[in-house]
Amino acid sequence: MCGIAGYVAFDGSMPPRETIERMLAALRHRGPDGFGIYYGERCVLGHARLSIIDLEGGWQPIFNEKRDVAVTFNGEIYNYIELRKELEADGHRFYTNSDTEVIVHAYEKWGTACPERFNGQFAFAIHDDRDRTLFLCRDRLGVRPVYHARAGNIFFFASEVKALNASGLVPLEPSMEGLHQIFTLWTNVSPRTPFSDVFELPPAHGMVVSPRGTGTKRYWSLPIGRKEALSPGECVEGLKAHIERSVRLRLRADVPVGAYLSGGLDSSLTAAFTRRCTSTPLKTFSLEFEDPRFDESEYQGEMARILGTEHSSIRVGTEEIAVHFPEAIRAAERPLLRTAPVPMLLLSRLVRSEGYKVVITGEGADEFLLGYDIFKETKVREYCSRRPESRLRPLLLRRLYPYLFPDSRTARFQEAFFLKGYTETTDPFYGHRLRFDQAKRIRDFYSRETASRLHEDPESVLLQAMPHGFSDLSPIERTQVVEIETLLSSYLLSSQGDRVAMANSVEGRFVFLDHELIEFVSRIEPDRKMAGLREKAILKEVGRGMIPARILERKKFPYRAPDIESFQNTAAGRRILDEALDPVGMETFGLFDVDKVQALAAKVSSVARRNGRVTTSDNLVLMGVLSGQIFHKIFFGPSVPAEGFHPHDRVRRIVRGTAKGEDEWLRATSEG
Amino acid sequence: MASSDIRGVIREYLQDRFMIGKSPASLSDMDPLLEKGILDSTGVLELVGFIEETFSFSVEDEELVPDNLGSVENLVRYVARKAGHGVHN
Repeated sequence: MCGIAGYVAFDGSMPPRETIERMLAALRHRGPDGFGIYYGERCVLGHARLSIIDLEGGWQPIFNEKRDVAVTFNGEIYNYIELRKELEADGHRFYTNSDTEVIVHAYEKWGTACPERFNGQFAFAIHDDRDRTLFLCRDRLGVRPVYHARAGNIFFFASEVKALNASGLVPLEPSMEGLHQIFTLWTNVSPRTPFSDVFELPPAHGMVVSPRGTGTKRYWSLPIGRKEALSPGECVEGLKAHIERSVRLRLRADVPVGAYLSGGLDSSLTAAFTRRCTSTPLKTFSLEFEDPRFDESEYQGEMARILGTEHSSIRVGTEEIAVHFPEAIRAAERPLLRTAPVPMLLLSRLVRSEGYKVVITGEGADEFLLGYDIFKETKVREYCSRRPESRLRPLLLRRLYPYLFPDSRTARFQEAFFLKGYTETTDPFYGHRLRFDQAKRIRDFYSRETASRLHEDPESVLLQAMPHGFSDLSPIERTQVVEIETLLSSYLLSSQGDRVAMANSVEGRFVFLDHELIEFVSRIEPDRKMAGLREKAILKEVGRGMIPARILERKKFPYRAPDIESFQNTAAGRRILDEALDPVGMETFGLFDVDKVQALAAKVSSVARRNGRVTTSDNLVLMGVLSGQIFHKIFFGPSVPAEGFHPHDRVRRIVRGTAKGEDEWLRATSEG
Repeated sequence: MASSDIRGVIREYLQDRFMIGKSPASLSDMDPLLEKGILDSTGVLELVGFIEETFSFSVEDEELVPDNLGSVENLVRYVARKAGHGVHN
């Protein structure tokens, strides 16, 4: 698990050799165990390595037998053992034991359709000398990232934007439309990023770059709309079998694998299955919060005791969240409207400090098996629209969000708030309407110049990106697709997953993101997944007997961390906030209107002084401005020259030679 | 306090606290505050605190309904009634 970078220049105008070194050095956090580089005639492929499978033989880039196809790869192909057998039977010869080598041979056999055969989380680049093409590809859900940009006739790609920039040929400029999407939707609609002329390859896509042009193609789609009449028993048994298969595949590693334990259902189950599938001692890791409103340590400890794991946890304080927030933005490479990625960053640091590189984790169950409150909210709103006279209405509404509204005094207002637009069931974003509308408030704080430069409506862009058949789905299914297509890939797996874990060289493995598991649960009716208002009903049945009823039947406890209050209520946090809202810095960026932002900050600070609660929309706006300003300072401030390799780095270079004999065709040198 | 003064005080408060960055003309007295995105359910508590402090009466739990607090017009009527003033235009 690693970082990848490289470039192709079809007109032969290759940049200096050190270019790739700077790009790879910028990915050192993703792969500190060594750097591998292939210098071809018109392409350079680079790799920063975190060794997990085939510790000695896994150097990259890796080639086919004729050495005219090369790959640099970040991630895991879990079914590489089965694929290798198939490819060997077909006559392909392998020279390593790594999963990477399967990619080049699969590409030879199946061409750009090869990712359809892969079960895994991956981003890779293949250079094919035979027809001088570069094939860039990303896994189905977008667990692993890959970005690209052009500079003249050179096409650059890398796991992170900072590596593109380190080439010295891809200068970073903010994209106002990209930032506007983040402030409105919490995330970008791929391929857009918050940087001008820097793009993300969307999940489940392959991109071919050749002297003849560039083409992008989707190779997998979220199965939507196809439902089958499965009995409750078939649903539970089928899901159980898929989870177990998924866990077994994800335990394929040559290093010890740990597991995250949040104290909730999903990670308790993935840890329990992991325990069941391995005979070696299991290590679990948890986050505790100083603030009891967010803390779940009681349940984490109980689960660790039951599973008999060696358990480590880290206790995160409110001030610590503020202090590490800029670091999380640097890792995520985008403004963050939530602080939740920060504790995940600190957790991966703990994992790394205890010598672990791989953790099994439970993300995705809430999206695919209907765990989030937004699904309940959608169901209740839709019910009210069909049965406006129902006496159940207030009762149903009050079952929503008890944690958000502990003050029962405002119950009637909460009802009115949650019923806003509830009859508009044909609204494509019916389930997200309240959130999207709330986020629009930030527009009032843009500078006049910003407002005049924005021409795209993020909601329209999002709607265009929705899969075929989206508008025919029920409101709850549409809500699910939006959660999966936007927040899961671009926010949760990226800002809260890959980036903050890889910042500390830790790889997360996502049991519920196995595509065969997803294809199975997509066949199940939503009413079985959420029975009444019982979220993840099937998953709870799977867990019966494996995890204690107390954890099984716990109300969904959303993973959250204190947001703007981390900054308002702590000394270090206030310093960060004051610095970010400094008028000079704000004028330099020019995105926000200084006077309006300062008026809001003064209001929020007076609420905090009186120990009042900051309203949701004020919190969102101020988090947007704060993270936007920090983002600006990190990525567009005075630039520091990008570093190259260190003298002690292990580097392996393979240069395409001029001799034609096969053995001499490539010349390999190792340093360090 | 005359209702026009009550209206002025309430509008100024809303502008100052919940409409930063918006023009006063963007909200009419009849506009529903929740639907216009001016108030959310947390904001309601802030508004209640302000009313209790400014007009010196306490807002009972059962009075915390949109009919009393849901628009500028409703607020003016409610405050005038509670503060013991008729509506003098």
